[in-house]
This record gives sequence, C-alpha cells and structure tokens, in this order.
Amino acid sequence: MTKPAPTREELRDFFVEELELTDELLPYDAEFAVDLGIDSLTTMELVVQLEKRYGVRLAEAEFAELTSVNAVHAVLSARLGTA
Amino acid sequence: MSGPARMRVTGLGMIAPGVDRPDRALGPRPVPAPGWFRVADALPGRGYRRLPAGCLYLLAAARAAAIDTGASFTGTPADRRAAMVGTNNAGAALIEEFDRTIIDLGAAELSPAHVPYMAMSMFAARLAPEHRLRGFDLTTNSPAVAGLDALQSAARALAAGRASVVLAGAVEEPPSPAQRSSTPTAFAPADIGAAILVCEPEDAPVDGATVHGYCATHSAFVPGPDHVRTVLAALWRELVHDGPPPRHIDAVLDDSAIGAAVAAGLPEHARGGGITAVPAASGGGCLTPVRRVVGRLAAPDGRGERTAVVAASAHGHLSVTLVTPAGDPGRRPLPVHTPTTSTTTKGHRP
Repeated sequence: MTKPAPTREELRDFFVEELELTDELLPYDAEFAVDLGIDSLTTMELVVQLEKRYGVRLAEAEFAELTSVNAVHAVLSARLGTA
Repeated sequence: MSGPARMRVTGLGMIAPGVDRPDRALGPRPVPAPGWFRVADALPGRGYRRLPAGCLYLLAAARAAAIDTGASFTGTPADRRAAMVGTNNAGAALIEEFDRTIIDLGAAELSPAHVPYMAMSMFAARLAPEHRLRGFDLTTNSPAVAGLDALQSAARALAAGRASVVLAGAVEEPPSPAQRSSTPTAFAPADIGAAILVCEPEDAPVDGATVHGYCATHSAFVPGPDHVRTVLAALWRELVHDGPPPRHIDAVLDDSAIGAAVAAGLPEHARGGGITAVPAASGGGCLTPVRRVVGRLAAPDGRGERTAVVAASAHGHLSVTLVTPAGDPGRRPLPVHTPTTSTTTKGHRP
C-alpha cells in the first residue's frame, strides 16, 4: 500500500541508520557515491528498502536520480505527493 | 621422497561460541547463546551490517590474525597477499531464505546485498577488499575436510611462489532451519565460527613476526572403509618422512563407517602418544579440524606439541595436517634470518 511521502528529516534518519553514519556526516546534499563512497550494490539495497517502506515501485531509470537525500526526497515526493 | 609442502604460521585468529582467542580453541564447543557474536566489538567501523553471519565471523577471525602478525602482513605488497578458505555449510540458511522469498513474494523482493552470497565463494571473497588482497582468493568446499584442504592448498601455493602471505582457514555458519529439522543429530555439536592462520613460506625471512609454528597437510579420497588403513598409512608415511612422528593425534571424526575405520586405524600411528577423539557432526562442518590446528599452535600450557589433526567425511575424504608448534623440540631445523625492521616490504621470492 502506498504511504505518504517522507519528510527530508525522515529520509535522512533512514539513511543515517542504514549507512551507519551521523547527521553531521550526511548533509542533505551529500552525494552518496561521490561524497560517501556508497557502491552500486548498497544503492540497490537501499532502493529495495525504500520501496518496501513507502509502498512504491521505482523504475530503473529513476535509480540514477537517487544521488542524495535531497534527490531521493524529490523523487519520492513527486511519486507520492509533497510531504 | 618429498612430502607435502610445509608453511610457517605467524598469525592466528579464532571466533566461535565461547572462544574469542586462539589459545582457547581447544576448549569445549557450547551451544551458541543468542548474541554470542558482537559485530561492533569484533569489527569496529562501518559497512558490516548487511553481511551474512559467516562473512562476519571470517572477517573477525582474519582481522585478529592480521593484527597478531602485525607489520609482517601489512608490509606485504597487495598482489602478494592471498586467501584460501574452506567451508561446507556457509550460506545454506541464506539460500533457503532466498527460496522462501521467491516462492512467497517473488524474486524482486530478494535483498540485493545478500544475493551475491548465493555463491559460497563470496564469503572468502569479502576478505579481498577488507585486507587489500590482490592475489588469489579461493574457496574449498567439501564436508569435514575443506578447512584442512584449504591449508594444504595454501601451503602448495606458497611453496610454488604464487603468494608471499596467505590467509588460510575455515568458516561455518549455523545449519539452516531445514537442515536442523530434517536431521537434527547431524548438526550437533554445532560447527560455527571461523579460524584463520596467517601463512608464509616455510623458509622466507622472518620479518619480525612471532612464529607460532609450521603446518603440512596431506589428503586423499578413500573409496570405502576397507581401504582406510592402507591410505592412512601412505599419508602418514609421506607426512613424517623427514621428521619425528607426531606426539599426539586429534581425531575429528563422525560416526560413519569411514569415521569408524579411521578411528580404528589411528592407534598404530600414535606410537605411544595420545589420541584425542573430537566428535564431529555428520552434517559436515569443516571448522573444527582447523580449530584444533589453531589451538595446537597457540596452546601455552604444554599441549602445543607436535600433533596430527585428522579429519574424514562420511563420503571418504581424508585429510591430515601435521602441526609443529615453534617451540616443539622435534621440529626440523630451519634457516634463521635476522629480523628486519617492521617497515620491510616483502616481495617475490627468488
């Protein structure tokens, strides 16, 4: 079932938990691959987790857009409605 | 006659329920208590939370072994570092979980982080980025003996000059729910955890590391119980052809016909020394024999004598590792090199 879009803060909490980071190490605009060294396999895992959590199925073409907390927030808000 | 290749052991790491140090590896094998393995303690840092349990055990044991060896390991060029790990049951529970997920929910629901571990070789493969291994990184798979076979393959590779240092050992995970429910007695006592030895060529310069001892492994396939005595005698002859026989035998055997035949054949090789019978589960974990090797190399209380660790599977795989602790008076004299500074970099053997 589709759920409401998360807030940016909720999304950051999700990534902080999943990536074993702290808030300070995860600015909203930090790029997962470039700034945090997150590999493609971890990215795929996070996509699956997001899909389950928010009841949404993301297209492969959208994966490339999921580069930061801000970017993920934008994609999910577009799909689920602005939080 | 040239016997099996020998290698020098300069680092030991051991993780199992109730065992967090190599010198406790000869201790009992308790039923694992919930939470017995604490990832944050064994593997400080990020990036471990999605790894399967076996991978975590292996990384923790390898980390401890590398620390034990110290600069001698870290000073070795990445392309001269390698790994050779045995396992038989690692990944079994994960594959069952995958099956259930696919049946119930579909393949799209599989965890991408876990999917690579459908291949049993992925457990040891994770050692490569962790320890900057750019040499070979191989896995041996067989019931009971895969760990000792990994030691044998590591010794051969070192003797052939294919690496300067090899992380060699075994890892096992708890049996899967289906394994436990179908044949519960086949998996007790549990064979869970990981054991890693840092291995170098026998005659390479000692680079400041503590030498725990030496290992040589020989193996064979026995087509049936009637052949055990002959095959065992041949293995023994080649293992001890240039040194004294072991003073002790650790026999890691199950209750199969092959296991019984091996147990019956060992007394004639004990030469008055003791035989420790270590019951093995017919479910075929391969960690316990390597655990005995680690324990014999690390034992501080006089149990670290020249020992043969014997393992056999119900199918007929038979492996024997001759363990010679550094302090054993019966060990073959070895060239002594002046220790160099800890920053020395090891290169290719001449």
